Amino acid sequence: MVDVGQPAPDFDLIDHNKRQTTLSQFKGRKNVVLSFFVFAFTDG
Amino acid sequence: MLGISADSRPTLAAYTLSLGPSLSYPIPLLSDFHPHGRMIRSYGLYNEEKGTSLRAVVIVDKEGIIRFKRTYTTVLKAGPTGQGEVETDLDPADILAEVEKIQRFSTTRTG
Repeated sequence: MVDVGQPAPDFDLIDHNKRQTTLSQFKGRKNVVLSFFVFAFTDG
Repeated sequence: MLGISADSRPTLAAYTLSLGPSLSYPIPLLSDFHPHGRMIRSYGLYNEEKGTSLRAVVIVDKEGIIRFKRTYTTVLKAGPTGQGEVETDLDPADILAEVEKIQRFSTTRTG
């Protein structure tokens, strides 16, 4: 399992507006906060 | 800031619409629906029993290195006037502190 200090696995997913989003598009430009949640329409 | 769940994209779109006017939701919500949970699994945050993500925050620095990773739980309780309130064991201050630490380090290093 990946943990602190290790490279974050890249991903290629679409967002709710159909925009393609990869982790690598932020490399060298932005720090990224990833917020994982269980289900939409719930308390988290 | 990106949100991620194993919900389908239309579900995420409907969710943002339920919270306000079209296209105004400020955070991209990424759908890891098919193949189900592949990205979430790669971060070790997939709940095999429920088929969903765990609740977690991961901070990745500009170099692509994980600097913070924490799972958390929430409890929905009745607030003072009976409305639902979410209690959590993740302190938002911890996340802000880590982001500030990374930004300070980055500023120092690049001058």
